[in-house]
Amino acid sequence: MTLPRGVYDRDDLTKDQTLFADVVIVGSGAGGGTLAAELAEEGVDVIVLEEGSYNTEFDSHASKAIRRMYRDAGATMSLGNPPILYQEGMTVGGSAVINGGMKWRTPDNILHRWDVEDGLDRIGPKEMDFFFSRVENRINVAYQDPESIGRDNQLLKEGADKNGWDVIPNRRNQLHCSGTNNCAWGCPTGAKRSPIVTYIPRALHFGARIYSNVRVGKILRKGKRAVGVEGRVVKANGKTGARITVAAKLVVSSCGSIQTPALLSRSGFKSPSGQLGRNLSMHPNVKVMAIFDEDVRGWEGVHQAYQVREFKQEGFVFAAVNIPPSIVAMTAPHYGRGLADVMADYNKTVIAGLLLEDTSLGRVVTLPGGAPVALYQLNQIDFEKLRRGLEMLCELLFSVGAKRVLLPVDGMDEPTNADEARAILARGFPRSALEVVTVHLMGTARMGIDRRWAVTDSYGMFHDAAGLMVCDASLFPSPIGVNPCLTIQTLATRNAAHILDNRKRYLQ
Amino acid sequence: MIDSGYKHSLLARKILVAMAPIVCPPEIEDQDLIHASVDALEAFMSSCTGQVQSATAVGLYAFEFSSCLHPAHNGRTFSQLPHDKAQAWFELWWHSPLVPMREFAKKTKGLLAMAYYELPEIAEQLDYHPEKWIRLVARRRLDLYGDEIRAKEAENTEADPLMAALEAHR
Repeated sequence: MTLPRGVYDRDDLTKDQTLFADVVIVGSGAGGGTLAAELAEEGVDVIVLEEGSYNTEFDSHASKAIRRMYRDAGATMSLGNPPILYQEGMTVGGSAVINGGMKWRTPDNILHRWDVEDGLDRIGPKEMDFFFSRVENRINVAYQDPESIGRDNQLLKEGADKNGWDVIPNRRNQLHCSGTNNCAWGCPTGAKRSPIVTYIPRALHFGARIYSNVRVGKILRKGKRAVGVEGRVVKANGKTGARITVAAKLVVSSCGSIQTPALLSRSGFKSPSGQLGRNLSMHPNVKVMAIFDEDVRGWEGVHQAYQVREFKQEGFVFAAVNIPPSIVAMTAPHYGRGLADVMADYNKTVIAGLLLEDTSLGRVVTLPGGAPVALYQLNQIDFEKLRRGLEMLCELLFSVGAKRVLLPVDGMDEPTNADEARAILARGFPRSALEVVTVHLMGTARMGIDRRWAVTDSYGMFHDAAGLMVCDASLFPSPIGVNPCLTIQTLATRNAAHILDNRKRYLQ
Repeated sequence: MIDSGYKHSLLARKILVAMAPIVCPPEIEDQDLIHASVDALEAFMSSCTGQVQSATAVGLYAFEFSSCLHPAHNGRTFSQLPHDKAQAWFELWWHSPLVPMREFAKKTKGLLAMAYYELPEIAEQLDYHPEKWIRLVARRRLDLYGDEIRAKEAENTEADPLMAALEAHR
């Protein structure tokens, strides 16, 4: 593949070299990509380092996409009870290239909490409106065209309506999405306006340089000032290659809530707050498979066209999320003949998920070799909410004709009606039997006005070092209860304005 | 994509070949797809970290050799067992109260099942044709909205400096 002007990869980076820029950004996703474009357009010399490759062509081959664009081939798991499988994007454009594309503003009550409890500067809904609107316009946040919505999502909506529950169409970053149902493997039409088709081309257009296949080992320091970064090229076989050093006036860590605290820690940065790596929230996610008599063909149509908000106050929402057969087979709690029987009904299946605004808090620890490990223990409150959420989700699915539901609990009976589901779930089950996954990792370098309990200030500037900014979901002081991507991009835009407002301080 | 060139050891392959008809649908044998599934798993694992590759190998060997200790197995390893006994051995691990044994059984089943269900023959059998669908709706999208899409694409690189916009907003 020919790379666009300004993008370099392992084939170009065969020799050790030192580069210079005003700003070096580690990570090219929702935070880094957005920041790069906003700064580059204002004439700032920006270099972005990204560990993944530059990918723009996508198809429906799930495991190939996982190998190409998911960190460690998606096989990353937090330690705790239950262990939680989590995914981080590793491609130019970051996790936003492979996410579902839901774009909700940070709820007002959360912004209010960040304002009042965390003392963040100008974070209220009114002050944030300009930044939200700017991002929404750039990435085309809109409701789905009706023809793109498939039967699985219609059933979810019908179920919510039948129960008199609040259900709303999802806001997604899409330009006439045609419903390929390929979001998690990269949008094959470019309809999903992820950074790879919006902020990244824009950053390149305005002169930013992107070095892909570069794994940053550490941030370089002079005393308490960050002065650049040092990384190594990742060869195609995974081994390390040439050394890439970037000297910059401002260093930005935008590599997500797992990698950012690890990068800062292994570079020797410390926060007296003790919060670096702590405060990890995950929006734990569980899924059920509901088998219907009718043909659903959930892969024909966009996923998550609707969100059931009835239980938002309790902390959980529902959506229908079709998953390809290979991934269903991987996660289904069956094997052999049982698996064959479940999979034979694949085209009659609605897969619906529950996303929880968690109260559990985990942390990221950095091992002696520098690799991060996420530790996260689901607390009793959240466990109970997931149990209740599953009950409600079953009720919805049975109300529109589901014949049986496979619960995400190891060894659990398959209910064939709502009463049975209630009874089965009421019997209780060990936390370890619950299959939980997540793609929302937040909070490990929290913002806050006070350095005694926050890692960065209101704009992501590290409290206890100069020339160092964090710009990703690590900044969240708390979980937000909705998909975090728009919040990350909006904070990145706000951080960019802060840098530009203070050029003398940060860029000279 | 990271491709470390990982290859199953001969023993690991033997164990996986014996495990596939147990964890995947039993038809896998008649369909002659055991080796194709194990090959697909090998390709996938080539992108995993060294730790995952090593942990998988350790798990497979433990699964294989601990079978010898079972009184009913007469010192035979898992891959030497007849089908019914091999299946019972897998079930013992699948339902084990010990988390590492249970997790090994689940994860290995998960990987083999993923590899199997991604084979084109199986997609065909399930009547799952996402590429055809993608082609169809991608064309429909351009037919219906082509002009608007092209205009919006062109807008993406138009000047819109942040500070001027912010100033105007203020």
